Amino acid sequence: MTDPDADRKVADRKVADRKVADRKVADRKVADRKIVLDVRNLTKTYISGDRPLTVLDDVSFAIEAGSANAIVGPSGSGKTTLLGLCAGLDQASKGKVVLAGTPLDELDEDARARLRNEHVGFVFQTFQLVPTLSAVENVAVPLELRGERGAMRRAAELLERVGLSDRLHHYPTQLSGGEQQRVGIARAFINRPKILFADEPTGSLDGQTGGAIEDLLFEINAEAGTTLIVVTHDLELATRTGRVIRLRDGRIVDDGSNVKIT
Amino acid sequence: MNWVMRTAWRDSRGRRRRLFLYTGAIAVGIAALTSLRGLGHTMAASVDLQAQTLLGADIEVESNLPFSAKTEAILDSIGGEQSVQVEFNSMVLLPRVGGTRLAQVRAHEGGYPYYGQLQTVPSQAADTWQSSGGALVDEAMLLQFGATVGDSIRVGEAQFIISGRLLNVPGETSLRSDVQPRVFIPLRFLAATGLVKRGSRVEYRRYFRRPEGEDVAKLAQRMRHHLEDENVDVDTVEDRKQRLGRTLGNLYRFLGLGSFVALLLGAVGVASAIHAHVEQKLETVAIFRSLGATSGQALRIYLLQAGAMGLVGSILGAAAGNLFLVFLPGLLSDFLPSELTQVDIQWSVWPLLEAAAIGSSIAVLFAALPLLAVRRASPLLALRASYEETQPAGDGGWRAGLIGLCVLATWLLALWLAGRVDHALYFSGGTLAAFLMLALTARLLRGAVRRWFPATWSFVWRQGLANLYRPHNQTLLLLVSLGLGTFLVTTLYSAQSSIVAHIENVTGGDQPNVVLFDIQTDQKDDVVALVDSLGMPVLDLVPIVTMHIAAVKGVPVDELTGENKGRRGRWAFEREYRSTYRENLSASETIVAGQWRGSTTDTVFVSLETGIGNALNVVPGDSVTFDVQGVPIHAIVGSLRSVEWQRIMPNFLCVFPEGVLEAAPQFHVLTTSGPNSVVRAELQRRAVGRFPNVSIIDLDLVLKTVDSILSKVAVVVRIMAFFSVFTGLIVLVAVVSSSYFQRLRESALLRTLGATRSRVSRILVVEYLLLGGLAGITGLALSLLGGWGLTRYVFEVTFAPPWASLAAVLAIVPLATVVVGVLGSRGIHADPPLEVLRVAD
Repeated sequence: MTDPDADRKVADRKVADRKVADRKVADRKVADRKIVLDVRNLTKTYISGDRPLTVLDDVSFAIEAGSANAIVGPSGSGKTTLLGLCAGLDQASKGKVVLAGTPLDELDEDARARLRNEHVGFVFQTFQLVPTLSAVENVAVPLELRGERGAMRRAAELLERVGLSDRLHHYPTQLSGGEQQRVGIARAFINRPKILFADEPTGSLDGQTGGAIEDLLFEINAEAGTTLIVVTHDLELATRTGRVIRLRDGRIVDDGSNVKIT
Repeated sequence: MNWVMRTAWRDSRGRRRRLFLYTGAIAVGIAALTSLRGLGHTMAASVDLQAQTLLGADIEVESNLPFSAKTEAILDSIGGEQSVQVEFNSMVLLPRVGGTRLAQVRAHEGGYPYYGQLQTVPSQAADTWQSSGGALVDEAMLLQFGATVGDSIRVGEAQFIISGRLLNVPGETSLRSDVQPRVFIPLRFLAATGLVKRGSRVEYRRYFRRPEGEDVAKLAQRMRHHLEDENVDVDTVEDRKQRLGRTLGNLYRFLGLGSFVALLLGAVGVASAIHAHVEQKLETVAIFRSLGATSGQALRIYLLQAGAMGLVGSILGAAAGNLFLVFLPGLLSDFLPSELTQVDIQWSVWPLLEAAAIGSSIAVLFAALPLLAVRRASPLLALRASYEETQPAGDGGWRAGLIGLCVLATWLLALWLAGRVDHALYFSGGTLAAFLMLALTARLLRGAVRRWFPATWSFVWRQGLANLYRPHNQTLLLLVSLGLGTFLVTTLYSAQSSIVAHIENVTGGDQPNVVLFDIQTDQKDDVVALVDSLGMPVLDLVPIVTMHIAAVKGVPVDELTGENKGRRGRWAFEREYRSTYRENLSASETIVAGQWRGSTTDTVFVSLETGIGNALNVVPGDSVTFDVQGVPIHAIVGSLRSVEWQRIMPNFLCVFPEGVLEAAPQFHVLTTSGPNSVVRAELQRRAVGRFPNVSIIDLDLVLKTVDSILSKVAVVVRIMAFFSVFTGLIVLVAVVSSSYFQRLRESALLRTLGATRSRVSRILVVEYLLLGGLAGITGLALSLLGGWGLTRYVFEVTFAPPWASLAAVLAIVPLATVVVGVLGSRGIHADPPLEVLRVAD
């Protein structure tokens, strides 16, 4: 004969254990899904003349999927270098970047390019539109690179969304700065990126145009559910994001994050 | 169409006109290549079509001795249509106008030429001259003396009425009439001329026409077999085709050098254009890379553009080349039998395909080197324009590999054009050496300007000078392309002038300028008296004895020629030697081995020229047996001599001592000097009248003939140089065009800072003046070196460059560069500075 209470206790414990285990697995899955960019102990050193110059020193943080984040800091603090490393445009001297679950240091230059094409969008301070391509052709480039059909149609839709339906076939030199940045934003979203990097997106625009561009960026970002990382001097812009990472002399001096960095 | 192709097309927007301009560089090279290849195909087809006309008969039998009875019997037994021709050189006289000249006399009988025909004015003279007993005289000679049809011409002791002006003989070039005019007389009057005597240098020919369908090759083979010991040559249409093929091959190789240089310059031009193009595209590449394009995709965009430039350039070049092909045979008419230059052009698709493949491959290959910049362009450039590469480029291997491929392609191209490995090495090696020397000079000049920069000079000059070494400068490219063109043109021009100057020099002053040949022993004293009577000095009077070599070191020459397969070896054993005998060495001779012996003891010691001694493989002490017109003379090589052949005096391969040949049949050569053309003409007139067998060469006429021939050669050389100079100019236009925006921005900046338009223009003029001037000086300096080498070692004459003409070249090159540069930069002042700077930013 067995003790029914003891059996029940054992059974309850097993159930509880199983629930804990399931919860842990579920939590881990959730955690994995939520972190779209994981930066660990990132260091970047250049050789300037004969001397090494460390522009990023042991930087670590993680970015949650769907969040809006800002990296701020004075000139020369390493913001753009950090952005370049996070997007796989450059390679770190030390440390690790895991973008969309893929460690970048394990990829060669071309594999990183393919990863960017699949998961990353860019908005540049100086717009960086290809001068020989029309607005619609510029927007279509990321999809065309993938060999997807209907790239031009989708590009036209996005241009319509950013208010440039009457400028589809204009070349960059025929567009104002604000219009060029709208094209840049449309291009950034065309491949439905998991993460969007914006480098001083309003830095080359006047206040009024810059404000409109900010609104557009956040609107479309919210619609698409994309993770946003904005590098900016503009504290007002930074405060529109949920998290502000401050850099100084290549180090993080403040991180308004509620995501635990492990 | 995939993304790369689409983007290559889209990316070219706004620059297509400029890229199209760059294609011109490759187009000129391809035009040269296509026209020459087309000419090759046409000529090859013509040689096949016109082969019988080139020989004028099916078979030709030729000997420098009268046909023996056995030969005559064999030739007669063959039957069919036959023609006889006896050919020799002699003075001829045009009594009405008093003109005399050494001519090639052809005593002729029969219906030759059987294929093609003699072209005469009047045309019927070609058919009637033999029966009417008249003569056909080369048009050039009649024009020279102002004689006409109906005048008489005296050949030896016979006189003929001129039945017609001779325009063309099948298979012969018009250049031949310049060198030695031809006079056709009926064979039946040959004896009446009294010119063909024992010891005379005469060619005997028999021409055969065979029935259609007969195997001519087999018949010729049988004739060779039966005439093996008869000292005759049997020639067929096939033999003539092969010889002509070799001649044409040499001509193509020479002209091929022109297209080779132009094509290489074009390739360098495309590489430079792509370099300038890509420098402005690196930011675009970075944008593509940041959006996910791989380095391979980015590279392929620009490789595709380069390939397209090559293809378009090739198609344009091939079209232009085919157009040029219509005129090319006419330009070469002096060097080719007229049958080949009057034929229809053979149009073929194959040269076009070849051109397209070569043009695009060369363009892609040479463009790949500057395109390495695309491969290593970092996407980080999209984030910050001032990004500097901190990692080693890591493309050293690629670079070395591509340079190796370019050199290999250059060699393969040369091999394809020249058809021989050694010639390909000379072609590619020589051109690469010239490229390297020009490039090195450009580098040194650039460095020198930078190091010793004249800080105290005016602003305009300092800016102009600084442009030579500023970033993105085109100093190297322009110096190489323009310098190479200048080098080619002036080298050959210097060589031509040096040769003419040399002849003028050796025929002037107290130097001999008249040579009298074939003076018989019994005429010697009378000829000397004639020369004396005109107040002309007898500078040399030497006996000449004709002979052959019978044995060397005891081995009969028939056995030796089999062992000596080389042409020079056979030539040395089989040729006719015209030797002299004397006691002393002449002023042009120096003993290099053995000892000179001027008189005979028990042993006959001969002195051989070093070259012929080497060809016979003998040294002092070896024995040589000569066959002196049937009499064997056993001799020992006493010495080897070097001879200055360019000196105008009788020079010999073989000199005997006195006391051996005095009794042998001989004739004499006399050299003298006439103070002017009137006295020389008088000597010729009197000599032809009294000594019809004596030939006289007026070296003044030789000078004019050489000058005329060199001028004709210069036409061909200029065709070659034209391609490279034209390519150089297109490269210049392309380079100016590629740096247009940079100049636009510089102009705007300078104007913003207070420079006037005139000052900005003057800076441009100074820059192009310096570039053109340096290219001219470098090309000229190299050409002086090349011209010196060419005249010293190839033509063996004193280098005498035409300084005045070279100075003119030195002025023209910078001037042309300034004109093209300034014209290409027009419009840079058109827009207000602010507008330019705003767009540029």
